[in-house]
Amino acid sequence: MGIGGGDEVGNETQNVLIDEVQRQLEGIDDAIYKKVIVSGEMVSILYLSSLVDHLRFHETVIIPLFNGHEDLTQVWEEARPANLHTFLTLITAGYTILFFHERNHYLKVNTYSPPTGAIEESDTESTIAGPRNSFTEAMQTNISLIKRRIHNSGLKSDEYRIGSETNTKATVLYMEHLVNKNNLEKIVQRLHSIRTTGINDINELSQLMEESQFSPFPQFHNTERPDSVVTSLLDGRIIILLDNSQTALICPSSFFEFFTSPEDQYSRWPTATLLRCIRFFGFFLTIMLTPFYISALSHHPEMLPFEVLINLQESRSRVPFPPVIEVLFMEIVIEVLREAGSRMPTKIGQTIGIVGGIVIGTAAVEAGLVSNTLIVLVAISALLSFLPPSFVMSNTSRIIRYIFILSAGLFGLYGQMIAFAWLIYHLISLKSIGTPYMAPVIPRKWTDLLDGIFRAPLTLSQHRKGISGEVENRTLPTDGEE
Amino acid sequence: MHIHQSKTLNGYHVVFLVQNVMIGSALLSLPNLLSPVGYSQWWFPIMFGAFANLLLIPMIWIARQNHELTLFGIHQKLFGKWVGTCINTAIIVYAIILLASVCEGYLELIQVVALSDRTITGPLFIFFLLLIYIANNGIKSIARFCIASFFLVTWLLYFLTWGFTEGDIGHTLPLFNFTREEFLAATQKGFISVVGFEVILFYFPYIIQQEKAFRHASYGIWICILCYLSTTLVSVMYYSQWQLENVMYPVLYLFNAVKLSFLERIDVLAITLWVFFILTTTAAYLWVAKKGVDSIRGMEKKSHLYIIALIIYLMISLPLPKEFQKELYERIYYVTYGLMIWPIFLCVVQFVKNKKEGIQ
Amino acid sequence: MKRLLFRTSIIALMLLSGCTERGQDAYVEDLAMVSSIAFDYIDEKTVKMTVSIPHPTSESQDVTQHYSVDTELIQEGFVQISSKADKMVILNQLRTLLFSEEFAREGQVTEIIKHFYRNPKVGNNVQLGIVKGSAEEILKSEFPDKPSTDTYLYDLLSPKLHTAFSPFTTMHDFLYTETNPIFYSMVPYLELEKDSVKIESIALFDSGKMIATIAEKESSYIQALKGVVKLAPLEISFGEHNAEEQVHIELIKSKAKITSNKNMVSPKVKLQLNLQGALFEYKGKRDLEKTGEYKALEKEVSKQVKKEIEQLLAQLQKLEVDPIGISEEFRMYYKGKWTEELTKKIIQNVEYDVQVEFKLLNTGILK
Repeated sequence: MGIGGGDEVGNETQNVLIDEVQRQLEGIDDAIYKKVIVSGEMVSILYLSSLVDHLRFHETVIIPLFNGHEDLTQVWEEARPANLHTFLTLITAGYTILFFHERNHYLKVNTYSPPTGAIEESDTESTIAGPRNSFTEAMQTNISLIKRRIHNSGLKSDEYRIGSETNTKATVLYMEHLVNKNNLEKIVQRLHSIRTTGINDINELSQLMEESQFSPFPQFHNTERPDSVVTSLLDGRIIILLDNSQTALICPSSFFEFFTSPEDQYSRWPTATLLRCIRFFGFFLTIMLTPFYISALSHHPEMLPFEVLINLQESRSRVPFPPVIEVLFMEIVIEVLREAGSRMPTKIGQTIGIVGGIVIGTAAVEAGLVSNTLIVLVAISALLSFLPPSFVMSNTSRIIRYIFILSAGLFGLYGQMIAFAWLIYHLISLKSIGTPYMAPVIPRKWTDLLDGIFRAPLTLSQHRKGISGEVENRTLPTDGEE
Repeated sequence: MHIHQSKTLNGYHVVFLVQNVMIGSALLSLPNLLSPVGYSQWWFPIMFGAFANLLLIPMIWIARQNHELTLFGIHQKLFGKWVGTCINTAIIVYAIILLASVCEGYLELIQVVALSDRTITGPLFIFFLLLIYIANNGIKSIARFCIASFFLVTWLLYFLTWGFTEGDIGHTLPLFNFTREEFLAATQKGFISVVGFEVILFYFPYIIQQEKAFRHASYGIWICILCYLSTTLVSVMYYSQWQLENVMYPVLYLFNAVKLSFLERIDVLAITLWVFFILTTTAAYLWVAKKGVDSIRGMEKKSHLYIIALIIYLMISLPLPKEFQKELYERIYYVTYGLMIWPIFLCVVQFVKNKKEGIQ
Repeated sequence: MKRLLFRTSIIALMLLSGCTERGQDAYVEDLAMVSSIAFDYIDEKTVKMTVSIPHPTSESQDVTQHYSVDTELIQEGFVQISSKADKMVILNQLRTLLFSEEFAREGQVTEIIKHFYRNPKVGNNVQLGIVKGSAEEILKSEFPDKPSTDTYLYDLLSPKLHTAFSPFTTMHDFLYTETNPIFYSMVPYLELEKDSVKIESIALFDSGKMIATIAEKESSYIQALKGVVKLAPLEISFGEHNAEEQVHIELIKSKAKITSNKNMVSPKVKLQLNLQGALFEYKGKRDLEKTGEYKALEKEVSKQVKKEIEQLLAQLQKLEVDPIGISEEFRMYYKGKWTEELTKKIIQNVEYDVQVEFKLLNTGILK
């Protein structure tokens, strides 16, 4: 694709090259092509005005160009290799290309100045204690938010381009002396192997990189908080940032992390432990509660106390459906409510909440469609499903619940336990970048247990986490592959 | 396909593999199996544990002599290809029948306790789907599942405290109140409960710290024995001799005694949660059978696993004559005892062979 | 392949889930859960079986349905009842079994209990009771101030401190004592009063047949000797004509120790009973402010309790039953199979040595 390939090219070909670039930029209405004379030398300037802020352009290009052009070649980098592809990539990435006709120099200036949003508080991961900054959609800002917190030359950032058409910039950040090189290799390999035309959000990237595509579980944790990113970096983990995406990807991640909030680190340990336990066991409760209702009602009438059963008989006496259908109906209604509410503007959303709460809750019982016990159970399990700080995990818990509901409808508690065994086995065999998903239950390090479901006082849990694998001690094969 | 066998099992994997494969459905009926000796049965698990530990010595010895080989490989090495293959086939058949008996025993119990007036087919089907899924990923995944199931199920032993408080500790005396015939009958029936540790012969090559394998396996045996001991002890305290003899699943009735304000009956929960122990036991044996077919055919294929699973599934679901089935399942335990003593014979052969090689 | 398996299993689950829907339709609202069963004696073969099935109040005026059948076999009786009931009759929630006194004395109580014990759907915590007169009558009687007869009976037979003299025999307990050659069963004996049911006394069983009843207080002593820690309050009167002084004691802790001389030929048993209690009521002339009097009272009570226990033991010896299980102390050191004959032999020949030590912990908060 390149027209002149090497460095030593004649004036003639170079003019051809700059013309070719200009020809390629035709039809882009914001492409600027200017010729100016500086100290008697003709200089061509090329850039895309939509990516370049006028003020910045003035500061970085115009003022140096017209004031002291002697050392311009030293200040600005040369654009190499001088071919069409390089230039086009640079220009679309917001660079300004300067061509000095006399001296045959192509210089590039990074004038990329996208409109940056203000650094705001996180919506989805808001905390009461702790720093409030969250990532923005501009990657440069995000990287600076991280580097601002780690003053260490060991923090490396490599750049990759993803998407054959969009050329979206992705940055891989890691602490060089802490990271596990195997993991890094795997990440790089996967980033290279992604075949897509374009990518919009980091969640897409995360799905493209996963090992088990068919698992209902997210295998990478993502966060919009720089402080969580920093904690992960210090564990030797790898962070992937994507331009135009507000979240960062943490690799590898473990199941337990989806139940931790950065706030745990800032609050006192008993509080943190209690909250973590509630979130974690809430996950298992939410998938077991309504299925248990089905099991007890349709398969095991001996399990519940007599008085409870009589009450259930009473409240179910007018319900025409079998318990499975009843539960599925209610669960789907809750799901519909949530979905309807989430697409609406806040004010209409409130109305939907009221409609859902009053009309469906009370009226459904009075109409004899569902039993009131079930309404309570469904409401509790819906609340519990929103406990995990991670939105993705909260969705997963609701999906999994349907598996449990169906198996409970089929075989009662036995079905539930089979489904539970499947869940446990699935979690155990899942991996995130070769690391067991269930770490630290499958511990790489015993000290991990001090910061698992139970968070020990901070002075006790100052060990580096084993999740990214031991860097020093890599003699044992850690992958369960045979 | 990995022909090369990588070492993947850590120490704690071995501990829990041994322990979980041992605890199967036998624990639920152990006090009943030991009932010929009446109240003196409570210390029998300790004796079984000691036996098992003794039998472990030749196993580990022979395995360490051939630390790259499974028992299938050892047979082929010691007896040559043909005889070795014959013995291996016998072991595969044994594993299949044992699996069938464990599955069927458990599912019939499920049918009686949890899913009455249902056929066994549906529960069996999903059980097998899950079983194949588990056995598919190799021994390390099974080992991990073992660890998880241990912690998920053994807390049920807490419910034995109800039986403990109601029982009478005086039943533990006298210690040796049985005749020789009764002793033999109880041992013969009850020793089934410790079957399972011999599977170590098949996953030994995958163990990383082979020199410590004996110690780890012993830990596993004794954890298991501790569970057995607590159940037999509580059963002896809680039941009369007549009940021990006539209640088929004494542990189930012990759970039945539990009274909680929010759950009337804990036994259904316990028996369904037990599926974890059954899954670990059967998954390990299924994996063994699959490895056996692999070694006979000289290649590793997933289809072997599916075929074996299908055979077992058909064995259980086909209407074979009940008497024949019962006979078969009872007889298979004699083969198990044979298999436990078998390594001693292998040790002799190996010893002679080593001597010969030494002379040459 | 793993993925394929996962998908197939999900699909299979969904399909199979559909299958079950058209199977049996017994959800909780379609079940008639038998809560109590009463057995009355008709003749040697037939028994009158009455079941009571509570149901939700919204369905009809009465809270409980009753069905009675005369039958020879229990299972057959249930078939007959099922054909009368509007819903599917199940036994999973059975809580109380009542036997009339006549049935307990003549009928096959053990066989009936074994029948339920064998059924895996019936729990082992089913409470038993013997009824004076007709058991059916109790089940069918109505107590306007109680929520329902079933709940009332169940609560009455559940362990409470003030009725701790009762053994609260469950199905398991009964079979345990029946099948154990050492023990003799005890079952609460109920009597229907005007507006209530009362645990009148305790029925004693020998070889599956009721032989006698013993009073509350005696039963309380048996419970104490069996090692029950929390006992029912004790009312003791002593002095001349047993009427001079009266105390009411809340027992806080009791401890019993039985030791035997391990000699089968001339058995001797030492029973040591330690009681600790709080004095709640006292009628008499003592001034309890004085330490000496206080101690003397403790002694008096001990003496009286000892006397009463000795009387009780003599009475039991005469009946040739042993609900305390004293022979256990001999069995523990006996080699060979223990039989009922051996127990009888022990009971006939045993010599008791009772020692009671009573301690007053406090005298309440009033002077």
